[in-house]
Amino acid sequence: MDDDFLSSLNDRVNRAVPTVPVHTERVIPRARRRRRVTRAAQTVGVVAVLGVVAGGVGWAWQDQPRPVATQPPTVSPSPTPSPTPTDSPLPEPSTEAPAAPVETPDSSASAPTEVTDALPYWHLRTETRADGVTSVSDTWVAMDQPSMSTVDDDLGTAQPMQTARQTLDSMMGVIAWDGQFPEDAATLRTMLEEDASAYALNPDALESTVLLHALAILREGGVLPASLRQAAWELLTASDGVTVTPATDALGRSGQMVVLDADDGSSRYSIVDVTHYQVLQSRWDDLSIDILTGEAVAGPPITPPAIDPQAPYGE
Amino acid sequence: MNDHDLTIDPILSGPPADKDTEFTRFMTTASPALARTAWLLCGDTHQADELVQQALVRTYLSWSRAREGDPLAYARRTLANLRIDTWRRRRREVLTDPIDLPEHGDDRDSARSHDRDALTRALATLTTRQRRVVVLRHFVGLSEREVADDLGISVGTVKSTASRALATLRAVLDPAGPVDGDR
Repeated sequence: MDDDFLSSLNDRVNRAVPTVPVHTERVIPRARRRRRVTRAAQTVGVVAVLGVVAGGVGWAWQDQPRPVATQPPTVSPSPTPSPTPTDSPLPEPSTEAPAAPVETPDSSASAPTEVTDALPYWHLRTETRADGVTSVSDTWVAMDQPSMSTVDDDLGTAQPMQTARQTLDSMMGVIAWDGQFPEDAATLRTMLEEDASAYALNPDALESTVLLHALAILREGGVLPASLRQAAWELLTASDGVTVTPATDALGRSGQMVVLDADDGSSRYSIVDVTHYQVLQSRWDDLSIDILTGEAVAGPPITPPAIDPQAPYGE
Repeated sequence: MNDHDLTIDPILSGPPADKDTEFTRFMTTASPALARTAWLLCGDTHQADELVQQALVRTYLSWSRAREGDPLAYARRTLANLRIDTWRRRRREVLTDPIDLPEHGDDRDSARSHDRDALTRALATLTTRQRRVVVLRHFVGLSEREVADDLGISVGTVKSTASRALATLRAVLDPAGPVDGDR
């Protein structure tokens, strides 16, 4: 039976898959830029050892055997870039879109940790380290205003994103969610469970879906109300099967590490700042690590592009 | 033909070339197959372009290591492990009725357009790991061992994940077909 279905499925795939134009001319310039970012990060000499054992799972990650940095690495280009090591003396090819400076969020205590009327966007910078390569991505998300993301400090890669409210819409049960933000863990759980019950194909995935959505709320950062993020944290820590342990992230920031096991067998590790209820660092069991730094800002560096109504699913 | 049939060896055994020239030849040959895999993983041409670029960037950065083995496999493995979260748009893809979808203005083949929509909808019902496994195992044509190696999971997990994923796809694409358990 599977053979017949597989045969017809492959026929269907071969008919359906469109020709995807790949802009290969951008690859080598992007690679060179990423190499500079990686080396800049390594130059700062971050050591992060998360030698924490939680629920029988040990997580130790180490980059370079150098002293712990007390400040986060500056990994984005500044308006007046300083020379960075590169193995190529050649200038960057001119085929690239001009890279407007993307300011790195200030993770110091003075950085605005919540959006305001004057600073309605949450700028979240994610530094991903995997297989010895560091990449960066940036998102600018507002509650209701057009939002966007970029990768590798390249404004040419700008993609539209859902607003924070649309993100919540996609998580909350349509009956329970009336646009009012839940402010306690029990109400939040009710809303997330209703959604998961309606759309989870596998009942076993319900609980992990609820927990992953609670974690996603923490990851959204200061664009969501602090009371909602606190509710998400309390939902997580009150759940069976979630372990919580003190930990320090790769930038030396203190927090609590939560370990979630997803329904597909993967595990997700996140270190959460429990003062502001925001994710500082996360890791799946694919050995890549995300380091997050966020702050409230007035807006993104360019006007966000419009959302493509035909995009069926994506990041 | 599936992606597994591609041969990259002539690129690497051709006339001596500097790294960028050699890698550019590799990209030219490999990118169509990678783009097909990427589209199946994400269901969108723009995002597929971006995913392939990201995979090629990482391959370029590790080119000396990648070219020693099978560079296409290296790039594909990188592509398959890129982070593709699906939860953000889940509500929309589930709630959108096919009749509400806009027509593909540049696609004159309505049957193909219908197949494409149906396929993306069906793939969207899978978890990220299920989609990765079923794409690599059945649409790219890798062996179970190769899929396991690419994704860093056991062969047993590949088997069970692929089985559940196919059952889900069949339920969505072929609801009148045999029920799960007939395998």
